[in-house]
Amino acid sequence: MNVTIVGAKGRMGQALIQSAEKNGIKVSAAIDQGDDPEPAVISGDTVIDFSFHNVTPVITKLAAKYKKPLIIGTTGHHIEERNTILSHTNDIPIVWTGNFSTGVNLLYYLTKIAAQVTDSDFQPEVVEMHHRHKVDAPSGTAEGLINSIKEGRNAIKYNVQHGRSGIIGARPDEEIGVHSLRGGSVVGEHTVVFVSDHERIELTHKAQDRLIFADGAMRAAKWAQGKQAGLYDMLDVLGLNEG
Amino acid sequence: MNKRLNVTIIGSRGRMGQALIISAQAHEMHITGTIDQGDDPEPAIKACDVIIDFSNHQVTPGIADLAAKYHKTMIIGTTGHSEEESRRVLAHTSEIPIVWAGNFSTGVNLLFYLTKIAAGVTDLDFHPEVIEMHHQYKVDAPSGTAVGLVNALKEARSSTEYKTKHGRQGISGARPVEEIGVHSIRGGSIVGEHTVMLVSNNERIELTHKAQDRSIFADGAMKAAIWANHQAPGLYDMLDVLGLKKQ
Repeated sequence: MNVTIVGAKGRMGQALIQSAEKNGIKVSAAIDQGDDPEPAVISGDTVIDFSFHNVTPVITKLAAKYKKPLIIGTTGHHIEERNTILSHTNDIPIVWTGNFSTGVNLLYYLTKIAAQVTDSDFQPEVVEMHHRHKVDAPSGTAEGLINSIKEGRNAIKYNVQHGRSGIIGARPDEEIGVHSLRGGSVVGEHTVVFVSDHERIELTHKAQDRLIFADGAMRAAKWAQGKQAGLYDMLDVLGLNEG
Repeated sequence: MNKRLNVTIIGSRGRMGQALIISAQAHEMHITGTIDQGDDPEPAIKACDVIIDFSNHQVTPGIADLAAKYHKTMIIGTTGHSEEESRRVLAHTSEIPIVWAGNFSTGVNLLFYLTKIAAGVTDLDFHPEVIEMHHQYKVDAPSGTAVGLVNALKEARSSTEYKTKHGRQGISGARPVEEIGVHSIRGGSIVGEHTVMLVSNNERIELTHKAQDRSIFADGAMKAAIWANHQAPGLYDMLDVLGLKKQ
């Protein structure tokens, strides 16, 4: 299999090139701002886009024209850009997600199951830690984990509490506490805790470097080969979405 | 007609035995016997509906023989049985329902289930390791729960022939891919903690369970007793009791 990489000059683009090499996948084209995308899209079996929100729609139209599966890791699209991309899910398979790591997506899935299987005496909390340059809190992954908890316990209306301070009263049952630690060069760590009066479960993911996202994208690229046109995410690639 | 469940507890003087008595009372069961070293178990077994055995590995086979003789349901929480002792007990699963588990808590059994999923979804470059911590009086290592976690890992990756490595020491060579390291920490009054790690070159998943007190095991054993009393003869575990076995 060979791949076309869009956004090759960025941190993720570089990681994608490294990952392809490691996985014995040929990079037929690696393009960025200023390059002509059309011949690049034609050259690959699959297109992997980790570029910029206003670039993805152009790439999507070309991928649909030449019937190439498309892997999208770019984030921050506007609503019209989203609609353009989604309109092509009738033409080609598109795997679109904010986080391509096997580990994090596994954590989403395990969290949902744990939330379903335990009852409300197991109270949920989320703790995440990232490097000192991260500007937003909590992380996108933490938001995803909160969603997983809510999906697992869909009969409860949860309120999210970002950190605690002062005399705030005893912890309500319908609360999910979220705690954002910042420091050093931590790539990304997330823990979900389910704690009852007598026992607790803790589910943790720790990322060592960005290669995990690139490896996940390569796994998605392989998986998308031969798939029907449609919109997919990493849970589909990992076989975690029940049919 | 609301008939109270009659239970006989084997190993009643131990830590778990004491917790079982409290839990049985909380579940409004009738305790027909509390048996320990030196007591004759036969009359108490004859009088009960369900036997709950949290004793010693040498004791379980004899209790299982009696359970089968009187057609009683048996819940086994004792750990550390030899192959021969296990074989003797398993011979009775064609006659009576036996729920046999190293760990009766909801949380740990959820951990078994999540471990199987995690090991199945990740590939072989996520290397598995198991860490368990227990109090200073625990005589066997690794814990029954740790053995269960190793089995969950093996079941999920059935095409690989895994070897278990109990602690590492000296120049043991680089870690083989087909290895599961198991580490048994002992100290203080730790009721029971288990972590499964799946660690690759670039990321890791850690799944942990921590028990605060023994009530979780006793409550789970009562749950198993109530459930098993209506089952056909056979061998069951807590995943059966909790409904976590995929059909």
